[in-house]
Amino acid sequence: MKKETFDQHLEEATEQLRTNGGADDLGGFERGVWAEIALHDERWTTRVVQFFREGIPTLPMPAVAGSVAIAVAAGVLTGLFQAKAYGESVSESMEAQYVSSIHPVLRSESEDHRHDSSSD
Amino acid sequence: MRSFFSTFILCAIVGLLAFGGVYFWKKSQIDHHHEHLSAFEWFCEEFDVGPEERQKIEALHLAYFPECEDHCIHYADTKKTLAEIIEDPGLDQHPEHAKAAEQLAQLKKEADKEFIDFIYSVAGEMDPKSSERYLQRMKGWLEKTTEIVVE
Repeated sequence: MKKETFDQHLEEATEQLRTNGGADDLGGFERGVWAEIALHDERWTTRVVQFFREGIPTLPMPAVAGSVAIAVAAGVLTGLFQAKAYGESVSESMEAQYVSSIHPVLRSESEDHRHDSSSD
Repeated sequence: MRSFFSTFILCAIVGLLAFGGVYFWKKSQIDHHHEHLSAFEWFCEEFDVGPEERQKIEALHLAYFPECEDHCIHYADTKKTLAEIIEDPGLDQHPEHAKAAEQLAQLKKEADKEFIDFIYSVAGEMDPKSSERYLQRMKGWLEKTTEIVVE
């Protein structure tokens, strides 16, 4: 059943039910309407899935291409930034290695107290 | 036309791929560069030491190492002795305890002095801009050695 037809039937059924009174003596038409209502799942999970299937807007191809380009640029910049931070941390550990080769106290912290012949 | 949801997923995947590609490419370059780099080579590179300066500075390092090693071994032995005294409850108030602690503090002072003298002699062979940067960075380590001793 199409949504428009369903809405129309729902309104009619609601109106009839208001005039008829009790729900026990429903006719065939009303029973049909209530069967449709019962099939209409109102659980939030189903509604979320339905939203993504039907309710979300679509984007034109230029907007999609632009979004992808922005995502690539953001990924590249973040990658470069993180790599720079990694390079700095490696350089810091090399500095610690250098200082431990020229400061006796730091040198004593390592197991090896000897310098090698290639200036450490 | 694409739905907003599928566009979002597509952008997230492409963005992550771009990030991963660039990050791991640069990381492998950094790792490869540092893999066979000695501490002294790092120093030359970091402080823009030229070939001529490098020879003189390398000679200074090589001349300093034996003195540094002796001091290091002496310091490590004294530290070990002090640790043994501290662990022994019978030597808690013993004069040996205070003596070893004083000796360690004295060795730390001497080590700092040697370190300062050495970095100034190295800085003397560098160009003014690099030497200033070198001294500033190395002096920062004096505080760290004090923290290590306190620990």
